[in-house]
Amino acid sequence: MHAQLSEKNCIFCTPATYSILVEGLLDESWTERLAGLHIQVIKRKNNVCVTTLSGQLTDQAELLGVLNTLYNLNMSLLAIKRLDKACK
Amino acid sequence: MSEILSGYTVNQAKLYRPRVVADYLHRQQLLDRFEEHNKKPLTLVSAPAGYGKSMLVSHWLKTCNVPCGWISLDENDNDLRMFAVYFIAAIEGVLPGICRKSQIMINSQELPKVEDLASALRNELEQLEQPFIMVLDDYHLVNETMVHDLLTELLKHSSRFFHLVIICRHDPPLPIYKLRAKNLVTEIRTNDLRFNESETIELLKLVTGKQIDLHIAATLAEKTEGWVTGLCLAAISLRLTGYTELLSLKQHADTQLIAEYFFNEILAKQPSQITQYLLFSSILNRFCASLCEVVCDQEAEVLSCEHSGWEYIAWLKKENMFLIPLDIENHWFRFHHLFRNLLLNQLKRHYSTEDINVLHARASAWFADNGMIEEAIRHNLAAGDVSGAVQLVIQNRQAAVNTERWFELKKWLSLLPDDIVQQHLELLLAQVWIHIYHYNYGLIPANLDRIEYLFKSQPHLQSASGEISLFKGIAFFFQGDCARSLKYLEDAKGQISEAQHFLRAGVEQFWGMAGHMQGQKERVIDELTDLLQNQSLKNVRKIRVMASLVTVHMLSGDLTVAFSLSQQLKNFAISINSNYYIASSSYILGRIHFCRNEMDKAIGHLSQAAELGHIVIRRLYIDCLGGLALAYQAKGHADNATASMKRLDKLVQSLKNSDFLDIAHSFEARLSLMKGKVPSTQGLFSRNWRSRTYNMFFWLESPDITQCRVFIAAGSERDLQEAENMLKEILRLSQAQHNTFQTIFILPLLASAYEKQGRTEEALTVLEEAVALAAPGAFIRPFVEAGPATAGLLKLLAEKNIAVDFIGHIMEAFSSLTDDMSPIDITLEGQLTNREYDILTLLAERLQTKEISEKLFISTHTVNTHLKSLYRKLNVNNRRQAVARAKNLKIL
Repeated sequence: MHAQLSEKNCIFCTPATYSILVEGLLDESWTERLAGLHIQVIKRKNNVCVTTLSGQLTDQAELLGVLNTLYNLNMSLLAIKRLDKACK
Repeated sequence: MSEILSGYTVNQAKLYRPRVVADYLHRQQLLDRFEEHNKKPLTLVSAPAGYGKSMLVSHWLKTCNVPCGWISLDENDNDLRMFAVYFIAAIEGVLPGICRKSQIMINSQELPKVEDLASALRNELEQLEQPFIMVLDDYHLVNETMVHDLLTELLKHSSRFFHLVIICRHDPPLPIYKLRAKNLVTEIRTNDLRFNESETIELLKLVTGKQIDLHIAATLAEKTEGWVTGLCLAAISLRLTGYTELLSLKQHADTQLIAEYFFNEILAKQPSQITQYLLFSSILNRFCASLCEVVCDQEAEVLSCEHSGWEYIAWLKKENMFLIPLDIENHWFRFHHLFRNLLLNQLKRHYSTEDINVLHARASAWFADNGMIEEAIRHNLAAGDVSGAVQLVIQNRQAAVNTERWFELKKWLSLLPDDIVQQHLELLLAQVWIHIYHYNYGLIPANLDRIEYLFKSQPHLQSASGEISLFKGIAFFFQGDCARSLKYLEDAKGQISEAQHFLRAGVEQFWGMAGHMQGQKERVIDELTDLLQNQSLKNVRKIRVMASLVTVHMLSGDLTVAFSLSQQLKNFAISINSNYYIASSSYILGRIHFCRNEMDKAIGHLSQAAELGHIVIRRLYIDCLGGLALAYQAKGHADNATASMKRLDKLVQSLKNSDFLDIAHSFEARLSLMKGKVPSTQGLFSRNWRSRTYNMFFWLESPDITQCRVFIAAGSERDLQEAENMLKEILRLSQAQHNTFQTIFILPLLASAYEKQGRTEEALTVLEEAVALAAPGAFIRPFVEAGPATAGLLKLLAEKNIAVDFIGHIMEAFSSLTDDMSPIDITLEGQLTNREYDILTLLAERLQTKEISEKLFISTHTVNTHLKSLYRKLNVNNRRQAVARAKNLKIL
């Protein structure tokens, strides 16, 4: 029904799985505030903690919501990756 | 709300639902999605700017005919209180009277906890009998966690008829995914909002008024990817230019660039005056015709005519230039955010910062002239003119104080950088006024140092000396230094003019109390009573003068006059809708009944005050809850007493203030004493009582006095000595402050301490003094609570023919004491001797001391000695308790 979507727009407004890496420690209870993403804390060798958040997000508006919440928590963003390659 | 609590002015424009534009495309498929609102508590509309979110929701509300509230949020709503003010105003505007309790909560000087506010709101929303839809537009601008918490709590247990719609550019940090899993949220997202090809054709037809070539429509749909703002820009551009060479579109592959491309096309087609108007007015968050004229039209004198501002707005409307009306009267407007951003970009590209600053300065002047100080300040700051902003606050602060527009004053100050505030005497004075308004008297001294320092270096600000004297007077008053307090308040009285109502009100309120405490009761009462005769006295002043009079009578132990004045105060408070004084006067009425041992009435008034506890000073709220516990216990309602204590504990835990914690502990200790248990004297309070002087006021609970009660009940030689020393010290303080009220509570305890040390003569002297002070106001409770030993002493006084009638009243109260010992935790302190057991048996037969002595052939003195030992072992205070406990322990 919709006009043909460019690949860019496909990512923009369709669901995709993401992995977000931030510096520091994030408690699992935050998952409720972060679109239900799975939170995992990794301790690196030099005792520095990083946290991975992963899971499916509905679109970029939801992704931006997550990033914004992380920003308001003063967490530094290290990496963000889309895990599934092709869009549906 | 009321005159006193009118700090929050609600900007009605924020509650205005944007009206659907004439050429809006009806999108039935999307409207259908909303229809699930009666099954789901939340609808989330989340997509980037320019997808037509607000219009869609507004269109739905127009078609669905359900009562609704709309809040256009902005950065100012990053404050739980402001957010709640609007949230409640939006509901109350449609369904008045629904949120009464939560409205009281948000008007309190200290903000309630989020959970408390949420649960109050939830309860009220559950009372809804018809569907209500609340729309929060631009929710992405909120980043205050407490606001998110509030909504999370509300969504957890949603009410049947309350439906929330959140419109945002990115998802809010609410547990949306949980609601999604339970199918409790309708989501309308970017993908849903995109225009498909047939909708694109419809839209272009609507905007241009022409049939559109299908090929062009298809190209536009593809290029804009269904982004409605891009389509609208394209349509306007098509209308202005005819058929654009679509070839050029091919080069602009990016959606955003397409928008800019069309925007530039549109701008290029406008006459220069219109272009200038468009660019200049883009600095404004909102605008009206005359503001536009001032900001945009000053150089274009040749072209300007009288109605150019109106003409400009009429043109914007006609051309459909992304204009959004902000009120029903069609007076205020704003641009669509995206359009405004495009204009601002152009403005910055073509004009220098200096030019733009001039525009801001003009806007600031217009807002200041029209009394919209906050926006004037914002434009001053945007123009980099901090000193202009400071001057605006200084010029307007007195008027704001005198008309009680506290929230505005607070807002103005918050816009200025803190180091700037610290450099300006008048700004610091304004800050202190805000503390006073919030009853945060403790914060005054910290500001005073800096104020005095600045005052010395700025002799031209002599006019501030009245305020400074007043602040010093208040600060010393709370430190218990009434001599200095009175001196400064007298100064302030001479320096502050009658026209400054709120300042005068502050002076008179404290001057009355300080004057009394310096022994000038008669003069104070005369002068305050005279003032009340003045018909033209403003309410804000009148109520404080009344309150001051009540306080003076309370402090002097004159409960009868205080009672009738408090009733007048309460009636007046009700008539001007001042919840603060309704609560305060209820507290005082409850306090008086408590003193007179009329516990039913005390409970009634204190409960009423506690209902409004969130809006009064914390100390008073604490006293209400603790007072309720004591009153219930005195009535023998142990469960209610426990419930009140729990409320008190919860309150002080949340306040995290060691003084308040001490008071709660103190209440607990006093309650234990009433139950016949003696709390440990060790580590009861965090503070050393000798460490400071303070204002004893007429608080129901004074930790120092309760500490003495505990010492007396513990009863060892050392404890009694400690109690005696402490009581003498407190007595000296209370007498020095002419605080007859507390003196009446202290003296019977001192008598009790003497008596327990076997110094009956001294005890009688002290008690006689207490009776003389207490009789006119009919204080009963101080004697009853001082313990059974007091009853014996009072009898001795009556035998000496002293105040026989009054003592008779007190004795009645003693005899009606209920047994209220808890059956748990009872252990016998030591084995009873045979003699004690005999006496206990006779007590159970309700024999008097004299009868016991005759039966057992011992002297009354010996009986009393045995009784004392018996009481100690059973851990009780009187005969009836002793019998009850003995039965409990199966001794009898």
